Amino acid sequence: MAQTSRIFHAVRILFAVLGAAVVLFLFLNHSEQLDTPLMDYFTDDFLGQTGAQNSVAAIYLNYRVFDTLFEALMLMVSVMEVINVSWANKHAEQYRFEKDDFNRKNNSEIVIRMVGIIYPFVLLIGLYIIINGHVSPGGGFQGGAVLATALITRYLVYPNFDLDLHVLEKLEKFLFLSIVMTPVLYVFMQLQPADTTLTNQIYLVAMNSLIGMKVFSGLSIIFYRFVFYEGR
Amino acid sequence: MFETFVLLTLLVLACVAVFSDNLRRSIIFLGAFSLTIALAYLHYSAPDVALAEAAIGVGLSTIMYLVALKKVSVYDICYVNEDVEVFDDRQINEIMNSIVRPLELFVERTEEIEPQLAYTNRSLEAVMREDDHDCMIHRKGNLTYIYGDTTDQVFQDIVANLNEIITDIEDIRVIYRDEVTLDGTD
Repeated sequence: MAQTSRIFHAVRILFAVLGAAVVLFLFLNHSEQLDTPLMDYFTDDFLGQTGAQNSVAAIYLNYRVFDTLFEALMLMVSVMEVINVSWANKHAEQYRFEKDDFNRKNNSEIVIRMVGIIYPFVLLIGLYIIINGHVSPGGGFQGGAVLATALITRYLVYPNFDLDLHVLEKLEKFLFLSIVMTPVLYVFMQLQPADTTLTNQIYLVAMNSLIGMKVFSGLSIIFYRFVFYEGR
Repeated sequence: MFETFVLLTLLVLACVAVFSDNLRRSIIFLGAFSLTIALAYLHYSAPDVALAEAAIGVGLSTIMYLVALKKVSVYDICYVNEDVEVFDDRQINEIMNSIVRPLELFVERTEEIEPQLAYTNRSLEAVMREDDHDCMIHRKGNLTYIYGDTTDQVFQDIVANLNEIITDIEDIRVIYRDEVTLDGTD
């Protein structure tokens, strides 16, 4: 028995080495030079076509906006799954978060003071990343994640459950609907008042804000569900 | 040069995070790894990805892991030494290899609970009265006492394997807190 398993082991290793050798051989001998038609298409005139000064924003909000819709859908599905799983083993409504749970003595003084100082700046940079997403690096997802991080650091200072998660859940679904509708109307059906850079930029800022709000509410729901409905 | 440095740092941080004995240290190393990989993305001119990595990897997931760690069981060990005037890194380093690391390794590997060590130079009675530690190690002169409860399975395991865990100190006395009444003289 030990003998056969050793032979199988050797065969497996042999296959792995052979596979790696074939891949490396093909990779190193591959000398075909392709043109860059897609890159040229995306980077030639994105400012004129989409109004974005950041080519990444031009791609995910205009050229490839179809992908963005499914990314938003993916986040919403994972949020729904987290809610579903955390409902499965606990009666959520029976959970009580009493005032006495909150005990300031347990929290580090350093963390409380530092978070208090940093908090407004984190909010500011989150909003800046969202609103300036079409000009500078960033965008809805990154800004939303920064905002969610700000809300989560608030948990570190003040671990109380006074958020209404149901409102956030409703808001997230409504935002998903808006995220789907805006590009469908504006990009796919071309229902735009005028095809100028200004209208394009308004569309980009609106989309970034919607995505930012959605990512913010989604990540906050996941975190607060995880913290207050899971485990002890 | 910069590229090589960043990539090597990434490799080292990833290895340290995986092989670290303490989960909390692993999480901090993971955060450092995220920060370094954000720097690498920035070097490869992908500031958007770097921003996302910094927000998600350093901010969100680190806090998430720390909260998750807080929810799993933690075994709380307190090291009491009244002879020390001020507890600093030097004193901790002195007992690092003889007591702290073996005990941490045992609790982490064998019992699969997260160890947490605290050090104090307050008097044993005050610590016992005010704090609720699972296990206490009391050092008084050349004598070492270890305090715990009989009902505590982890403490029983520690006591049973004490000879293998702490090899440097021959003479350790085990005191069960729920069997012995402390009158303040000990």
